[in-house]
Amino acid sequence: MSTEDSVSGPARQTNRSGPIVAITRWMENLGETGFAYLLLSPIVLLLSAIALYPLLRTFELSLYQNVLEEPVFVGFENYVQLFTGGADPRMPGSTTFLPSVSTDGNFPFVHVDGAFRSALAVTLIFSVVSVFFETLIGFGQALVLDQDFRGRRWVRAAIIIPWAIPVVIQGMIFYLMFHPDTGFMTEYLANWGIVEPVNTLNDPWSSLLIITVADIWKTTAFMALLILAGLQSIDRSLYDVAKVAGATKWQEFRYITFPLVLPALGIAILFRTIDAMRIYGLIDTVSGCTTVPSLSCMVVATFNTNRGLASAIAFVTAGIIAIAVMGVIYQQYKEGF
Amino acid sequence: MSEKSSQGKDSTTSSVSRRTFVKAAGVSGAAVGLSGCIYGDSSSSADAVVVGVGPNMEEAIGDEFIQLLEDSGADGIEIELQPGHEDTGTRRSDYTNLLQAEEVQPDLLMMDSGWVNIFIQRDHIANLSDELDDEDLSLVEDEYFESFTAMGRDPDSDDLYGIPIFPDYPTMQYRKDYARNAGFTDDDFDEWATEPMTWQEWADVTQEIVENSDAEYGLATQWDIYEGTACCTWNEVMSSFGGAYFGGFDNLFGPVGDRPVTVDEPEFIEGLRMMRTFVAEEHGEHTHEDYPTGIATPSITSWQEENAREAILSGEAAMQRNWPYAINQNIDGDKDTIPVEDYGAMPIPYGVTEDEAAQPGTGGTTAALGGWLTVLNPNSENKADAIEVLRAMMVDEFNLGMFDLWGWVPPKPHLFDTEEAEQVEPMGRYMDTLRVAGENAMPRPVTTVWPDQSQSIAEEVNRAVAGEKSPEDAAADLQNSLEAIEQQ
Repeated sequence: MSTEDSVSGPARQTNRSGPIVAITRWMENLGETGFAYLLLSPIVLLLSAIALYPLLRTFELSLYQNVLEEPVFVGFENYVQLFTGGADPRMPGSTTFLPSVSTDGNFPFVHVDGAFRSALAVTLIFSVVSVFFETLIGFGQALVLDQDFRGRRWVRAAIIIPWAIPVVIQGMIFYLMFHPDTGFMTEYLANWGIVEPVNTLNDPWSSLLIITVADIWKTTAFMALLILAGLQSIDRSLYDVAKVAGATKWQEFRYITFPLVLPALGIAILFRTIDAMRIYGLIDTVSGCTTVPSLSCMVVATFNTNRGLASAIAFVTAGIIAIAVMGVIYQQYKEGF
Repeated sequence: MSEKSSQGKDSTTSSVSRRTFVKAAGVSGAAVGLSGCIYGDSSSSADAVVVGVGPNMEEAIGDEFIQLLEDSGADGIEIELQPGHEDTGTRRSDYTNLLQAEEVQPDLLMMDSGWVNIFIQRDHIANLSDELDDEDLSLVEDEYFESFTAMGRDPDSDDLYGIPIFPDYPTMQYRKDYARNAGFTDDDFDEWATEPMTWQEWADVTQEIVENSDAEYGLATQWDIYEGTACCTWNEVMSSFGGAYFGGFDNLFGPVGDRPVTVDEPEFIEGLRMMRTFVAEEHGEHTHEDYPTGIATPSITSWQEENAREAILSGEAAMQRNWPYAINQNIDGDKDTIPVEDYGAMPIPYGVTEDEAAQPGTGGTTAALGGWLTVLNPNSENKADAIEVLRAMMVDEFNLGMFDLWGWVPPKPHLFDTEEAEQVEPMGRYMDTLRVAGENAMPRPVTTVWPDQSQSIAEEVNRAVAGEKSPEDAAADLQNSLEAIEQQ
């Protein structure tokens, strides 16, 4: 026994002054904020691995050609092709969406040509229009749902139903509504000159309009729910004070509701914009990527024939989304939210 | 797309009888759930020869198929079927991944003629010229439809990589009962079955039938923006006017970049004008004065195969251009189908004769060539047995057996004359027409860049026929687009 004690004694002494003890002491000396970051670090590392690895891997693949057979390192060749139009013919898509914003038909400052430019235009038009109307209508719905009235639960359920419908089913609903054989909406809208009467789902602008309306129909509920959460977090006593001060309904909205719901609104817009920029399923179901080419459409279309180029498009799409996200975050930061 | 309808989009038909299901040449009408995974079934025996097939055939007649192979010379070899995806595009994608991953099974794979050549040019499948003996190679050389076999050959070396299993040839199918109302008789029908009409004669006949029957319009066909329009429906019309995408028959499989693009040509525009006229309500700037308007419903610009088949079945249309599967489906014998004596088929009409064609190898009646071939997995660990199974698939009894069992049109012309083929109901009645179609088949120009080119073609010709673009503009834009793809 004594021998064992004499052996184990010095060993424990060594452990107390070893790296674990040192780390423990370092942790104890950390400030509250530092300790919080430390506790968060495992999940941050995990999320970084999950989020960043595919992104970096996509970037790596975008530097190659013939990715799955005999990869050939080509550097930024895929990006050069993408931005100079060299790769355009490999991508599907109507040329109707090509915006001419300068005399030579290219965007100012950047030479973005052909089908990629068309896809960029489709993605941006769809994102801006759909998110704008979803926000507007969603705000209205949220304001209604925020009131206390009889049957509010039923109204809320009715608003949420479209959101619960899977994208493919949603797409088929609109496909059938506007298909020349089965569509009951085409004739009315065509009579008003809103959509093409015959080849409706193969007409680029008619299809884009239908897809945008379909998305607004479905996703407005998502916006409404997020905004409603923001509205319900507002301290009701503020309205009482405003009433005592003689504020009108508009003034209540202008000076209390809107400023206080703005953070929730910003988050909702951010989420929807990210989602809108990835639009694919609805397009594929309603009219097809050839008629309404989006950036995601191009990734899918080029995947089988040129995975390096597909990776480049995917990376650029991710980059555009990242810029949009950073823009919103910066704006919120600047405004002190 | 199914293995029966090379270009048909899979769709759903809930009330399909067993007879239809088994005999249907086009299983596009029956969507059956996937019953397997192409990435290898864990239950597959290592000794078995695994054959990658379509899910419908495997489920409906899988056992009979294996029995037929055994009866045709593969006796003693364990054979397993591995169903792939119903949709041809998905199957192609799955096979691409599978072969790139050097999977050893399936040992044999059925591939759509529309994309098998891409696998050949990428060196993904085994060279059968090295694997089969001279006798087998001669049999393929001498007895099979040459234009169909060409789709399974390397365009550079002419080596054989795929054994044709069944070809698909479209015909112009029509309602004899409606035609009888217009005064046409069985003598006319007999003549129409093998003597192709010009588009002008056909349009006149069709107009007469529509005016004297319950039909609402004459032609039901496929003109949606999809592969089927580029490879097939427009390819047929264009070729029948003496036009070609790439300067004629000899350039169908390349060389990419070194062949001319010939779409901004008068014959191409002429064909587009005719199709625009058929769809237009009245003559205008982009129509052709020689043809009547209103022959086809404008809806065809959103149609694929099943829309056309249903249009003639319901009585709306007097005629439809479609694959053989539509014959089987529409005259099945159920109360909701058309009696066989009221259903006719004729070769696709033509614009100019072969002598008048601007591009080599075109002109005259033209049927787009579809169908499926069987190829050998180069990573197979059962190559010897797999070759024996492949040999069994080349036996006449197998071809005739599958024609009877499942409606696979024989890949050899001489089998069309056999008593066994003629006795197959109902397809045996249409063998003469199918043979004319087979002898005038036009393969699609399959190369590694074809999938991209076909998108542009479908888009431009759809817009021209829909009246959204002039035929001249569509041809000029397409010329630029195809040239750009060729030069990559």
